[in-house]
Amino acid sequence: MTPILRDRLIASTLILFSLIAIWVALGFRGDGTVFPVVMAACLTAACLFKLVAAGKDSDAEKETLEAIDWHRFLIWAVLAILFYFLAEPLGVYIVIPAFMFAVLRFLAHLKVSTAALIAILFTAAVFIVFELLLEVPTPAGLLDGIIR
Amino acid sequence: MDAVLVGLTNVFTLQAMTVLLIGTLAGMIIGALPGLSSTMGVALVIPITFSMSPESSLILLGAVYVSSVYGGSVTAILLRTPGTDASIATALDGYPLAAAGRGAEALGMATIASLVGGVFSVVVLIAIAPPLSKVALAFGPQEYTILAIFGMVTIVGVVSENPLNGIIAAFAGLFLATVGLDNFTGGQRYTLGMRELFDGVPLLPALIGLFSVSQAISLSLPRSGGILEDDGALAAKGRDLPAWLDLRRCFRTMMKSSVIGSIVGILPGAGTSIAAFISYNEARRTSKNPENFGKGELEGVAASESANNAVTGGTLIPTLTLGIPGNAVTAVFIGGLTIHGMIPGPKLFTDFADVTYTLIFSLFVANILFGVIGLFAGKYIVHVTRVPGGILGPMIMTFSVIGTYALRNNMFDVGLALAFGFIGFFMERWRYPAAPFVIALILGPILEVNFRRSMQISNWDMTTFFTRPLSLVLIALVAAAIIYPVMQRQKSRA
Amino acid sequence: MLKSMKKVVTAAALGALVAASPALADYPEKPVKMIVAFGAGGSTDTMARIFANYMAEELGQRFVVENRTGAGGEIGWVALAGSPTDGYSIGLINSPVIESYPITRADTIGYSMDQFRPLINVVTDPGVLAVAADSPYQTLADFVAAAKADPNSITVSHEGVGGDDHLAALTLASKAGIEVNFVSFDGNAEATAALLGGHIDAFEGNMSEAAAQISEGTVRALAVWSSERMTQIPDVPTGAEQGYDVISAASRGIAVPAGIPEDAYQTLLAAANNVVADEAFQAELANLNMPIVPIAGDDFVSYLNNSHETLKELWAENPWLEQ
Repeated sequence: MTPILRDRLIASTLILFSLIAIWVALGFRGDGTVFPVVMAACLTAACLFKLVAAGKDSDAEKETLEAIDWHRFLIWAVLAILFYFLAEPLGVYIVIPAFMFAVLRFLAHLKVSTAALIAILFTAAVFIVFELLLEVPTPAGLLDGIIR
Repeated sequence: MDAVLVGLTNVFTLQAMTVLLIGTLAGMIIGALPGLSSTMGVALVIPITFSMSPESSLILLGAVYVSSVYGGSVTAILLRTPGTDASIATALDGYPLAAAGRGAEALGMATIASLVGGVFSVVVLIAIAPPLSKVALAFGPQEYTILAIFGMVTIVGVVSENPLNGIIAAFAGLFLATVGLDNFTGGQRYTLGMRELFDGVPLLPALIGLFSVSQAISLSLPRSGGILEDDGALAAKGRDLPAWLDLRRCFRTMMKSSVIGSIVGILPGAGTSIAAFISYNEARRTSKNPENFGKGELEGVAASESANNAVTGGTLIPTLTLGIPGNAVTAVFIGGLTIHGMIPGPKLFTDFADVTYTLIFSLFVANILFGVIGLFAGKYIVHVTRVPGGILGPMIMTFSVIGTYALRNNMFDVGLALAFGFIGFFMERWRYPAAPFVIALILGPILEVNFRRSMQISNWDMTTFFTRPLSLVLIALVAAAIIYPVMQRQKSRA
Repeated sequence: MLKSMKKVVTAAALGALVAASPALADYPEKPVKMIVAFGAGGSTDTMARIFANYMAEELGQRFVVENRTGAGGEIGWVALAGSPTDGYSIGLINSPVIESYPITRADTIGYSMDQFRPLINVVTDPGVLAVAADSPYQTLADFVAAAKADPNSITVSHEGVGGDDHLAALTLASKAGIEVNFVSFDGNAEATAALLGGHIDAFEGNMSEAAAQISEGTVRALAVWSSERMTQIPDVPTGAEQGYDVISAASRGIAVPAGIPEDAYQTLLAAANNVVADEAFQAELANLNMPIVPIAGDDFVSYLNNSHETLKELWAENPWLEQ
């Protein structure tokens, strides 16, 4: 997919999205309609302009950013999503070292021992700063009643 | 005058100095951690202040406030993860400098600029707080409407490298800003029935997602490498502090930004980011080499940092003199004052003058303290940029999760930050700037609410914007901000 | 059928559990969590933290305030309604807001009033109608006369459609037969700034937030919506004194999730009664201009029920949000 095609796809998606948003906004109460409609209309206009101008965008042609490594991106995404869904049931102080270890092992390719050491030390530091010093509320999960 | 002296002597006691030092260090750390903001810092300190004397508690709150705003610049520069909207403009030039191995120099400039801005605004607070508070009152809904437009115009100007993408991002942000419970009609807009969205798309999760989480992804993906661009940058030692010549060159910008920051700070609800971006834009406009901005220009860091620290003193002016908080942080401040029986208002400068001046002088000292600590520590902190990206990435991610959760005790916000992290990652790759999007999310509600309020007051008479002197002045500024860059471009073509 | 069967089974299981658990003689034996639906440093939070400190002294256990903010308080109250019923979660509730959501947000509401067991009302903060010191209106009569002479010309602030200030101003308007131009603000601070700056004509808000400005003389209160004059602002006449019998207030009290053990409830209630009678506590709230109006136990339950019913009737008569 070329950058121009990609930009056109983004613009088309946003236009579709804005038109639905305008349609929904027409049902809002009173003058609550005005802003969503105006802003979505402006977004549509800007995107229409982009559809036309994308072909002339010479910078896009010579885009030099390195291609996204989808394989590694996918690993990261899965780990992050697991982090999110497990943080509350298990507790952050179980999930943080697990997440750290996994990323350090599978993405940074550190040795098992190094990855484990960094993960544990970092979690301990986070625990001291956030739990003991700042008393920041965090999901305790399984550790509820043990750490506080 | 007695009260001033009492205030001065109150600050220079062993106990007060200890509290100041602890507050400053805590504030710097909270500000510097990606995901933790100054609002959060002050809110964390509030429960502790309950058991303290009024003087000590105000000193602690003040120290945490000013130093956390400064602390935000450290991560904005070194990691490109601004913890608050105040430091977004700082990251624009600070991060390219850090990537080129000049992180310590940028940190030094940020420290000096913050110090200048902070001290300037405290002097303003001491000298002319009560008369200046009238400025805050002169701004009605009409003026805030125009001010929000002014802010939007300058921000889109900042991303001139690809204006169309900037405009798309800005309108997308303005549109998303309409999500939530509509306070004017009581109706729900695009909330999908989720009560977490009733107050709108929460700003800090969006900010943390777009900047911190996306940066965490960017750092984790490459097989090797990190923040520093190449081996050359790795080998270059860079300066520990900015050169004297650079400081002298930026002095005018710092003073100008301090004035802008103090004025915007006085306006309740206008927001630190407006001050930082207006100053940044102004610095670029008057610079001899505007094309360097956004690519690593020390002057850009200076403009943004002196402005956002000047806001701290500015926001305290309406807070202390009128009891009207200038932003979320000072709203928490008012809680801290009232708990000790001091209701903000003119009485603070008469009945409780000694306590009030203690606070003001402690702000002064806190500014100097973080300045000294920052200048000394800069050359050590900068080593964080040498940590491989694969290790920094998951750490930033962890801080972001904890920081977002702690804001409202809510996993929904964490999910939102994660989603915005993915969006931000692709926006950066595909050259859609995140800054206008976030600023639009902040300014959108200010624009809409004040516009509708103006319409309620005037019974939908649009001329209300053109019949008020202050509003006209602001409209002229907006026009200038639009026309000037166009003129400049034509001049450079000719 | 299946559903009701399930209910019976669950109830039986729960009953067995309760019977098996030892009596809570030592309650509380660990820190008690106090959910506050508004942010740290706000006026609700400030009161909650003071109250928590005194409760801790009474019961010898920490009362830890947890701010669960958002959706005008609904998020915090949903959290309270769903908290464990072991007596270690209590919460601060704001009336009439908490009773109004099940009516105004009927489609999406996440709690119902019978999920709470009210413990004690602590503060009842009456509404005031105020104007700037340089305003031509000296009394409520001036205000009403001006509004009659030129309907919809006087701008009055309130903090959101359907809130207690909005309802108070609406009630006044209907009793006096006037029409005013409502301007919505996001909080007391913005509204006060607009009033002092002359951008609006009048301000409808709560006494505790306006008392300092009133006693300093920068704003003038035309009426306070209570049945008697308030000691904090003794010179301000009530609405009834001036012929408009409007009663409106924002209350802050404590509630627990319905179904907590009876002895835990009684322990909390006794402690709370001691706190509101404590002179030191009263002095701290007096500093905040918050009038203490203790309504304990069953009285508080019926107070909230009455208020809920009144709101329901009012809504049925004239929904203040256009549907």
